Amino acid sequence: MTNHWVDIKNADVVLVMGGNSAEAHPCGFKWVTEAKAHNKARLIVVDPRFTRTASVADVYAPVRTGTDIVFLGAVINYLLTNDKIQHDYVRNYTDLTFLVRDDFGFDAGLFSGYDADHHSYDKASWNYQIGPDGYVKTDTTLAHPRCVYQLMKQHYARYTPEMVERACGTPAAKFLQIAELIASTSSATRAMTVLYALGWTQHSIGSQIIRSAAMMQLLLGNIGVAGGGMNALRGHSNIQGLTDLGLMSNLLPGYITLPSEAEQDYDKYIAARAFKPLRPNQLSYWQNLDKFFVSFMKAWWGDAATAENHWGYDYLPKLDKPYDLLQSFELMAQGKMNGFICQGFNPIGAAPNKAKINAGLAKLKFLVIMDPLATETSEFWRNYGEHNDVDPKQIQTEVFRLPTSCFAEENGSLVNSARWLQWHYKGADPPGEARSDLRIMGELHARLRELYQTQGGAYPDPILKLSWSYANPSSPEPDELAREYSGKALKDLTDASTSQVTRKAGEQLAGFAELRNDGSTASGCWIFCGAWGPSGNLMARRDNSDPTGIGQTLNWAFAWPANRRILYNRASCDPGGNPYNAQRRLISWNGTVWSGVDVPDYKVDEAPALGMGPFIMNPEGVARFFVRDTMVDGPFPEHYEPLESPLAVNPLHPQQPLAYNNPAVRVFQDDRAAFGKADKFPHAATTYRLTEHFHFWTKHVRLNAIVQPEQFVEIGEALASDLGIKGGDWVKVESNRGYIKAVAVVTKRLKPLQIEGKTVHHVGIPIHWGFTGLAKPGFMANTLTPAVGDANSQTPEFKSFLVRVEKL
Amino acid sequence: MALQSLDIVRRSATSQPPPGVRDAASDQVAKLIDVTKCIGCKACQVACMEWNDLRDQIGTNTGSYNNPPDLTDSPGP
Repeated sequence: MTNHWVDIKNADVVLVMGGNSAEAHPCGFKWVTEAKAHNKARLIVVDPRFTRTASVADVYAPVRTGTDIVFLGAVINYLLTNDKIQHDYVRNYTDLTFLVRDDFGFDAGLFSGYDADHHSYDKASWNYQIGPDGYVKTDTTLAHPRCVYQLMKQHYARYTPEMVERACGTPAAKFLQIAELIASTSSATRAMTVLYALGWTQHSIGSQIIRSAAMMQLLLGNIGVAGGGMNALRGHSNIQGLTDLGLMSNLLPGYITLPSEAEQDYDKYIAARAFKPLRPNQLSYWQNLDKFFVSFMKAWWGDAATAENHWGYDYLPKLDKPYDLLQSFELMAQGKMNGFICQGFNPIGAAPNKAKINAGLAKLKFLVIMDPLATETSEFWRNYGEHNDVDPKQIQTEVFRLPTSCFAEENGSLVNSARWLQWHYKGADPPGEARSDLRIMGELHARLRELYQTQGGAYPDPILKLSWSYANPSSPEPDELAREYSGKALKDLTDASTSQVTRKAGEQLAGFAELRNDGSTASGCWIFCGAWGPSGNLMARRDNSDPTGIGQTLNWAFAWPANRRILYNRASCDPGGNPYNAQRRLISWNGTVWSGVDVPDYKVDEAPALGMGPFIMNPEGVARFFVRDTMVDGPFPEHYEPLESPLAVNPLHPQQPLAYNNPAVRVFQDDRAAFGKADKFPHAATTYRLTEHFHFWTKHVRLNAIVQPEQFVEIGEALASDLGIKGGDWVKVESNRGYIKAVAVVTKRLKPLQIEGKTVHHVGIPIHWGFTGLAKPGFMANTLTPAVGDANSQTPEFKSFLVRVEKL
Repeated sequence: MALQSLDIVRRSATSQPPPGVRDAASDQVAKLIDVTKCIGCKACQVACMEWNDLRDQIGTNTGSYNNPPDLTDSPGP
């Protein structure tokens, strides 16, 4: 979230799209209820299903799954055409005035530089015009035909209410009603929040859907203000912490990217990421990257990380290609991966195309499962009849199941969607032989270290030189790790001008501004720096006082970065430093410093007249509509059909087959062969969660199993009538990859949509069932799903695929 | 005497002993449920089972979100 849960109550309009927050986040949804009750907020829900969130909405619109960019693109077009944009904001705080290179273009669904053989772009033309002074050329009149404003107007002119009706199946009048309500927040004193979740991320165009919404919010001036923002509601407790700490295959902690194979030179690696400002007097905060990076390397390798060995740069893996979830299981299916450690992860349930996952696991030599529950993955080799029809005699994989404690059985911090690190305390001892993940990893480390010591190896240094200074090396404690990721001084730190000691060696640091690039500081995750500061554990703070009544509880827990609650909050003030909305003032300029009820996201003593932009992480200093080469599939979002679509062509590009699906998507050969077509699989399917269950965990819990005991699928009354299905009947739902059988819930909440002259029926597939646990045994929903990911993030396309429903 | 709001808080909030321990005859409370805000999450249903230590059988789906579909007279194991 750019903002935070409590801040939702400040919204005037709430758009829930690509999510179902009442159902998936019932506790946090209370802030939407607060906004409606006390702020007269209007709630808009756009979703293929009339969800439990839609049931309390002021306006609901149906939309075909996977067409969100058409809908949002049409909102962008509506705002530009009707001049419902926050002019002061977009002219000063975005790149609308920037000029783009003349050789950048877009034709029939493809951006300039497309290479059809490799499904990728040469992105050289996706850039600004740079002047002789090294800075981007701009046109403040917005009249120049190559300025971002004009290019955007041209790009989105095709996204009309009529196109929304044709491609999304949303009635044009309903679309216009919603666009008008959204446009009302272009006023400087009205704000809209956008709440989304996996309904946007789990598409082959997921990242660009989210960008479309962010662009809409920027046009309206809704980023950086109370009651606004782009708010990703995370799907697992602490999944925010997972990405923050860099547990993705291409990341280090704090969103620092791993080097590629070509980046063997440390200085070039840093230079490529420490962006130089693209406009005069911009902060471009990533220029501090070397301080964060060196401090991180000192946290991991301690004394072994020195200036002479570039802080241990050679210890880091250099990527020859991405190793995301889909790539890993592709390697496993090809027999190129021998072992797999599965920690808090149930890939048979969580990854697409169960048949492929099963086949891959069966080719492993060993599989280690660390989990509090007996997951399906740990039982993949056992025959559970139709639900897991395998022959154990044919599977040689050795499976080690290591039971772990769960979150309630240990101390630690969880990072919520609002970026708050909240400390929690152990409530009970774990049952049986369960041990904490830390102890299991601590002992694993000890044994690996011993093996490297006694037997050597290709490159033992990264393991042998790890800094491992925990009181009990076999079982590090959560508070030891928390101090480590927060960070400390390794030598006395002195002020450069006064030479006074500002921090003694060994002291915890107050924040990342104290980090140095000379090896005198250590911090395992720069964005968490200060969470365990000189005064102790700020994550454990529980002071909920809210002096101004807008929900800014700065003494509750710790929010990264720097305890800042609303990102980009400088943009809540006009260029002169006065709040756009005095009723919801976050910070303002008092003539000397920036101050208020949030930690300023800005240089705190920077006078507004100097022209520094509010988006200090960007080298432009402003927010981007035109993202240059930072995305693989285009500087502007464009609609492409899901890899399995009920339509034969992309309604926006009927003549261009290369622009039917995302042209830059990566699909492995075996996965492409497993896609189905609409002639055999005519129904548009989407997967989702129910409020009664959490993922694949709570079917192991009796109370949850009682209130939602058995697998079902949802189908609309029209489709049910066509197929002769009544509520409670058993149905078979089949994709080109497999089938499930489930009870049919026949509902008015799924209506057939008229798309390009044909009727499209949606089938709703809740994910929570499987063949272990207390609920009635069922099929894994991911038996059906296709193995293709978002072109940028490789998040699987679970939300749009094709099935055929038949009565049993 | 009519109940004052603090009486209701005192009788319903978690600092009090569970209902089974209270004197039911003089301390009856009613619950007002605003169905315009209710999304049917069943947290109240689960809280009731947990608070009163009752467990039903794990049933089947009969074509509806509503579960269990009706009251039963035989508690689960």
